[in-house]
Amino acid sequence: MSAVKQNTTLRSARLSDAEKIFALIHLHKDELVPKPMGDVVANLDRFVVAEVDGELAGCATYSVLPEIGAHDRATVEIQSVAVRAPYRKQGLGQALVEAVIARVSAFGASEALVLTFAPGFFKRLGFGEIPKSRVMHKLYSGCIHCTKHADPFTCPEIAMVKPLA
Amino acid sequence: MNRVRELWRRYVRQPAHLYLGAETTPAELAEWFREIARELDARPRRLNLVVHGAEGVDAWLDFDPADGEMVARVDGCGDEKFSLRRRWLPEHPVPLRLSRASAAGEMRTLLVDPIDTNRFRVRIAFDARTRTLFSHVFFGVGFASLCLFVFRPHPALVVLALMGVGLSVAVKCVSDPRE
Repeated sequence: MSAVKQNTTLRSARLSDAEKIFALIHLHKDELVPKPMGDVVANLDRFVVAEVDGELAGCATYSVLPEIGAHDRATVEIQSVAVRAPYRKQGLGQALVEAVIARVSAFGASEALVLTFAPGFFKRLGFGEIPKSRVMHKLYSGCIHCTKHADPFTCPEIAMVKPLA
Repeated sequence: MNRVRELWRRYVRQPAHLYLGAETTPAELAEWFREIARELDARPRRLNLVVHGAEGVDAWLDFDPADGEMVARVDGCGDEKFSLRRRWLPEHPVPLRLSRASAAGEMRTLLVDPIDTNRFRVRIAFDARTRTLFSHVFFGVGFASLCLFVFRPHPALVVLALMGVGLSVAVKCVSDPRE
């Protein structure tokens, strides 16, 4: 994959990254839905990681939501976008999201969905806000794993989508 | 015969209970889980967490990303590390709020699932209560039919008794055949 900056590499995750990815997601437990270790390992091939000087600095992944959108052009949710604090403001988050979008565009996804506490970040990447009622299935299948809010509609996360070509 | 004995052993195995009260400390919570880990064999084990007292208590299982250790946390009482690094696989989404949305007397069930002699995962068992209820109902029907048969022998009662007991064992084992 592409190099973002000198000493920075975006690449597919390896099995040896699983524990670090799990810990990285957990470091951002206030902003991200926690993932069990089993989920991380089972879906490791979907993770893109950013490495700076050999250290895992960030990660992002996706999940296909066949229940949202046409069956042959499903929506894809971008998940677990996280960058370690010392590596922020260097464009890593944007590079990770773009790398995931490039992957999902390749297999014909119609749009990329995010549920986020950082709408400004995703707006700059071309995402637009939508009502949560458009992604009901996602709310009731994904939010069940979240320990922060009992009701997905009172959760302050914002739903945003970006149409894909 | 061994298969029947094993099935019976699984059927009668009772889950462990932990009562979470306002006075529960993180050290007690952690020690309870360490004890469960010490007693583990190859079979999964159910843990029933019962919120005790009207006010309940907010207790959490958490993961320390700095050293990969699991932590027990009780609001207002600090936390305690489990000393089970690389043994406890954080399979549930952490932090796991043990008393979430629980009124006094409500129960939450965790499943401790050994994956080899050294490691185990802990998951939330969503359907345990319903399954146990159905299992008890079927067992009751079977037992009642057997009692009736003693007084009024009839082939239909034998069939009903066998079906009741069979279904209760099946319901008990269906979601985790190793249990």
